Formats: sequence, C-alpha cells, structure tokens
Amino acid sequence: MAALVHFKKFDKTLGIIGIPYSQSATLLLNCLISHEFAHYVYGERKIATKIAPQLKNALIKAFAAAHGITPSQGTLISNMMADWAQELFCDLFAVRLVGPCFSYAFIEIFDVVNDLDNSGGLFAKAAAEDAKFSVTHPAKLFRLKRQVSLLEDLGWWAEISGLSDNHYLRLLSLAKAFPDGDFKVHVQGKPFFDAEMLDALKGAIPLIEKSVSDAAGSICKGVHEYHDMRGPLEDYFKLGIVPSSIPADGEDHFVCPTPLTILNVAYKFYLENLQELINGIRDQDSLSVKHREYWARRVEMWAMKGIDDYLLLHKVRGA
Amino acid sequence: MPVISVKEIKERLRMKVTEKKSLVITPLPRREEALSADSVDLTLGTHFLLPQVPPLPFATLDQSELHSGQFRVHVPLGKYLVLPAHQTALGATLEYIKLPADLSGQILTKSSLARTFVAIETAPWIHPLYRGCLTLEIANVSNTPLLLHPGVKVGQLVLMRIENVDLDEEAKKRIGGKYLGPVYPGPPTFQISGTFCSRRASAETRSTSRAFDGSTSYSSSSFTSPRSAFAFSIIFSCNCPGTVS
Repeated sequence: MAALVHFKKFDKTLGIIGIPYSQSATLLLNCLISHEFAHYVYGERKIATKIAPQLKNALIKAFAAAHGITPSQGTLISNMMADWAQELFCDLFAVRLVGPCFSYAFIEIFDVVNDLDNSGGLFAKAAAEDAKFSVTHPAKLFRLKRQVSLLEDLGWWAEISGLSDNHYLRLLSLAKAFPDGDFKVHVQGKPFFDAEMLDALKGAIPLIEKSVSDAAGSICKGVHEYHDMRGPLEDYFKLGIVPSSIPADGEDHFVCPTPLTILNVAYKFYLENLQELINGIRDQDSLSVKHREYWARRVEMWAMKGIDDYLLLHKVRGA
Repeated sequence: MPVISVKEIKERLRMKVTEKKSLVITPLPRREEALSADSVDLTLGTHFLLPQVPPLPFATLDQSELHSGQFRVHVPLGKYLVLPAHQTALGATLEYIKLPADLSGQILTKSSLARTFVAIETAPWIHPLYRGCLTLEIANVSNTPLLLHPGVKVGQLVLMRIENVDLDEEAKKRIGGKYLGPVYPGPPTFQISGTFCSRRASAETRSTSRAFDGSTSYSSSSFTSPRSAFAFSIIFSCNCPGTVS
C-alpha cells in the first residue's frame, strides 16, 4: 500500500508490535509492550540460533534416562523448549527494561491475582491451573518466579517489597516460593514428560539470563533513582500533580524523573495509595468502583504527562 | 490583592509540594526566560478539542448538549494546527499548575498574540488550590487563518495573594474534584437541577468514531428530538445540499 501511494518506504529494521484494542488506552498495562519489544530483539540478534546448541544439550542431558520417545514427540519437545526459552527471554528482557511494573502488568492482564484466596495465601485450584506449562508458553507462576528472581538480582525486589504491602506483591512472593515440583507440563490435556522438560528448562535458564544480560546490559536499571524519588513522586500523585520536575532540596534546580521511575511509582501508587488521593477530594468515595476507576485513569494521565514532559525537557536541553 | 513578585514565585516553586505555600508550574523548560517581574509565561499545549464540522445549528447549556460533537486532535511539538478565520478551538497550556490556598491567578493573552486578534482565554480567573493544565478558549477573531504551534508562548500567568487565609484550616479541607487534574482541554460541565453533567463522554466517544470511520452517524433518537428537528428544518429551508451531504 505504501508503495502504491509513493509513500516513504518502511525501514527494513522497523518492528511492528500489535496490541489488543482493549489495552491500547491504558498506560500501565502497556508496560507489557516491553515483552513484545523483546521478541523483536530476540529475532534481530538471532538469539534462537545462538542458544540452540546449548538448549539441545540441556534436553539430551535431561532426557538421558527417558525411553520410548517417538520422532514426532522429539520434534515437539525441541520446539516447546525453543518457544519457552524465547518467552522467558522476553519476560526477563522486559523486567530488565521497565522493572517491576512489567510484572504488575503481567499479573493484571492474565488475572493471576485470582490465584490468591481470602487469607492472602494461594488458592490451590486456581494456582494449579497457572502452574501448567502449555506447548507454547511456560506456566504463569513459573514466569513470575523467574521475574522475581531477576528483580532480586537487579536490586528491585528489596525496593518494592520492603515497605510495601499489596496483593500483587503478595502474589509475587508466593510465586517466588512456589515449589518447582508442583509445575506440570500438559499437551492436549495430558501430562507430558514433566520432570524431564522442567529439568531441561532449568538447565537452560542461566543461558537465557546471560542472553538477556548481553542484550540489555548497557540499559540503566533505574533502581537507584526509584529509591531516591519514590517518596516525592508519591506525594505528587497523592496531591493530584504531574510529577515532571521536582525541586531539589534548598537549591534552585529541579530534578526530572525518568519515564522508568514515573511508570513504576505510578503503578505502585495505583496498587497501594489510590485511596489517599480519593480521600482528599470532595464528594468522592475510595470504596466506589466508579470513583476508583476515574481516579486511576487520572493517575495514568498524570504519569503520561510526566513522561511527555521528560521527553520535552530533554529535547529542549539538547540531552 | 497584591500581585506577587518573581522573587516570591521562585521561592514558592522551590518549596516541597507538601508545603502549604508551595506553587507548581511544570514543566518550565526555559525557566529564567519564562519568569518576568510579576508573571510567568505559559505556552500552548499539544492537545486540542475542535468543534464538529458542519457546526451545530445552536447550542444550549443543558442536557441536550451531551450530544454535541467535539473531537480531539493531538499536534506534536514542531507541527501546527490551522485555526481558520473566525473559528474557535479549545486548547490547554503545556504547563500543569498547582496553586496553594492563599494564591489566585489570572491568565492573560500575550500582547503580541493579542495584536494578531487572537484571544486565548475568556474565563481567565484561576481559583486557589486549582491543579491542572489550564483550558484555553482560543478564538481567532481576525480575517486570516492562524497557525498554532504547540510550545509557543500564549499567555501570562499573574498570581495574587489572598488576604487572611488560614492555611492550616485550608489544609484540612478536601479539594473540589469538578475540574481537578486535567491535562487535556476539557469540555464544559453544566450544573442542572443539582447534578453535574459533562460533555466529556460524548466528546471522547465522538472522537473515537471519527478516528475509525471518519464519519459521524446519528442515532434514530436524535432525529426525533426537537433540537434535531429544528436543525433539519433549517438545513432544508436553507437549501444547502453541501451541508446535508
């Protein structure tokens, strides 16, 4: 079509990411785009080809004692392993790129929070479903477990779990402690070499983590800024103010928080502190779903404006 | 009400946002350039609300206005919006403002812009404790189309101190939510029989449908309303096929 109307041709390296229509207007859920972005990186860097020999070795080692595998099962096993490795790479790359807000968005879009029971523990039946690997994707709880592990390594986990208490963090803690032996692999509703497949995947995880580190190593983790700016930014959201320039103590200059910090603080504020904003506004009830939805949208709007302002300020200053 | 000086503006901008006298104007990309002795320059934002074309035959300040059409336009920095002669648009300042309880504000059109016969504000008063980007009622009253560039200076914010305000008492009060925290130009909210009704929902819905099919559809109920009947009688009596098509 572009060629027909003599429009400028797309760049060969242009990546196109499709997102569900329902997701497009929601800033916080759009943290998931970083996962889709990672699929592009995975392809561009030819990571599948680079890690294929090691994945094969991990499978050979794990299936050394297995008997009676048909050729079609063998192909399926190796395809499943390749797909799982790619999905895990994308999850970890996304965490590396945007921090814990990816895990929050992941929980939200897949409704993993339904795995919690009223007492804050795991609801066994729901958790069992989310502990099942599919042909194309690792189990949701397994993916969260790996994300928490990376958040720990990056220093994020200490930041978000220290003083906070929300149901998403509780779920992440439970995923972190979820026993490896409880994960199941099902193909067409039937168990499929659970132990061997999981052994092989566990064997490949250091390799996947290294690939993520190689691909995203130079990107700023953002943990230190989050540590310094979380408190002031929460005050801004609590008072209904766009957090794009924060006065430095006793000085005549202003700090502009990065989009990464704004996103993570906004998500945490939405999960934990929305009622503090609503309670400060006349005729609004923090227990009303309608009011919460309205003010959650406003928090997203302020975060978006903060991100826009950051880009503008850096453009003006030539950074 | 004394106008506060640039010295006091700077002091208040430096305060932590939790302090009762703190003032927020963000972003101010060229801070020193934006501040003058008694005012702060404000710039044009990137979002606009435009009236539907063809325009409504008339407007009333009641519930029926819920069905009036306005659509949103985003104009990135570096691009511009053409405002035809004798036309209007709602815009917003790029700057997000938070006033403390002891300050009121007034926004005035920049004199250089005013000399091109463009007004940006017809409701210029800003109440204490206001927070949000300021909605601008932009009117091109000249005979020439005007290019509106986001980021250009359009207004001056003058701040005035209110006497005898008990800041401690004010801090305990909950703030009003009617126009709290907008970052885009907002359509009006009218009060009818003790309830607020907003044109926002209809404006956003209309903008979405326009974005996808580029057309405006009318429900059968809109033809049966007195307003629509009047509108169509005008269209047909004026014999204006261009409007009907």
